[in-house]
Amino acid sequence: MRMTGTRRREPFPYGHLLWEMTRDEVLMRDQGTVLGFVWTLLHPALMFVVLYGLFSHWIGDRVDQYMSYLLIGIVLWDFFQKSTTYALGSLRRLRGTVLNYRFPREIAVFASVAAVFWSSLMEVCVLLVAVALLGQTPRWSWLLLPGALALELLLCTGVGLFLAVFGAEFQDMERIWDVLTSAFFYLTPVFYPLSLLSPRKQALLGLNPLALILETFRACVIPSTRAPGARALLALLAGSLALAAAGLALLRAREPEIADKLLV
Amino acid sequence: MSADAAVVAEGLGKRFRIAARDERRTVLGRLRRALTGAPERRELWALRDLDLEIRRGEIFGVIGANGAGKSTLLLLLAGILAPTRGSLRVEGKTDPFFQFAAGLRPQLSVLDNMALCAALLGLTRREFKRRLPQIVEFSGLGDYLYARYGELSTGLAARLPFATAIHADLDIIVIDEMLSVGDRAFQAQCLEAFRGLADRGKTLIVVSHNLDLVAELCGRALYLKEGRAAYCGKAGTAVARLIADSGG
Repeated sequence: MRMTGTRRREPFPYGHLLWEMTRDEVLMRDQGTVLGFVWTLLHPALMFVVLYGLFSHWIGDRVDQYMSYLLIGIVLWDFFQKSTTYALGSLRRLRGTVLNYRFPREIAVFASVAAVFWSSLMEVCVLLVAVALLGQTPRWSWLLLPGALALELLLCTGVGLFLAVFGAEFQDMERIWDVLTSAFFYLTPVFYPLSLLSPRKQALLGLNPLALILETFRACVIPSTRAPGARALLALLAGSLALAAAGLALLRAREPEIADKLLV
Repeated sequence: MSADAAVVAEGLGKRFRIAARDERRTVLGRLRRALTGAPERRELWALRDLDLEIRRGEIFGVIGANGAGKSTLLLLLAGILAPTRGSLRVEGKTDPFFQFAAGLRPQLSVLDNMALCAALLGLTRREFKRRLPQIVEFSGLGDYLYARYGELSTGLAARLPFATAIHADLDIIVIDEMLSVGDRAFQAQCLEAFRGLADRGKTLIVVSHNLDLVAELCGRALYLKEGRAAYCGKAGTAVARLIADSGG
């Protein structure tokens, strides 16, 4: 079997397409309105109220600045959960576009993750205002926050690429991922510190890449929180890059089958 | 293969695996079938042993009954599906496969959809802005730019991707029943545009059940029957054969 055809040869020829698809995803998710954005804030706000109400006395006494600690955990978790779920359904949701236009399929996944990232950036801005009001003075270390966010974006993109392939192939992947993320939520120090656990469990959950990202972000904002070591962060960066590259390779290798399965 | 060939297919075949019974494609279903050994899928050959050459600047028709393999062929030509057998060589940029407004966003404005469609067809932002007045004029959607795309009638909605494609730098334009929804004036405008594009060396591949249109517009046509080429040659003969096979 042989299939040839011309391809665009610019260094990144699909930048404009990525921008347009991301913009459209943002408009469709939030209707591009302030009210739409307020709706997206409701979920993390409600989670905060419930978790803070339940755990502030038990965990709050052992964690400095627990409100800020919890807010950071919820906002960053929310981005992971929403972006991976949205990426999972991307090819099926954009079925009409995929079957009518020829473009690299990863753009659909990137646009989905980027659209959620955009609303999460707004949430992070609200978060930083909130932690400042809670008594955290902005420090130079806040300048490192984009790096932590970029790491999470890379991780979510890598996971999203894998999920998009399976999401196009199997109709129950969203439910399966929903169950898995529910379990993963409790395995991630969103509302508790790892120091509450036994050393063995700490070591085990310390391997959770999202835990490292949460700890990094918290260490930048809350001075009393300890940052992960540089080696751990470098390993996380290398692992996330490898995951994204593997996800991209899988998506490209499965592209013909994905089109078949979306069609019949 | 001749030097001016835009498309060359040799022994082209496309097989789909479709459900063997009423079942959804799920992880749990796959596990169950693996454990019980139940047949998962059966094979359906949508296209078989197709040899075809389409020349640059040609308006080429594809006709056949429903399920004959026309849409599968167009999806292969557009590079959206991959052949199962044989080889396919497509010389030039042929991104789209037009099924009216499929792939665009009914919730967003007509203008947003024009921008998206142009980006999907490979136009840069600058090129899109430069060509927007011509796209709007050709489509006749000037009064609807800020209306929701989903609010347009089927005929008006079909104009958007078509008008954008006409103004994109495509070498091969693949059209599936595009003309069946437009009004008479728009159809005439499209036919004129088709001929203009062919004169400029662009290749047009038209799939249609409108046999009069195919006979009038296309020089040659492929008549597909049950996934195989029943005839490939003069458009008038292809149309006559299809009519004869359909019982007159």
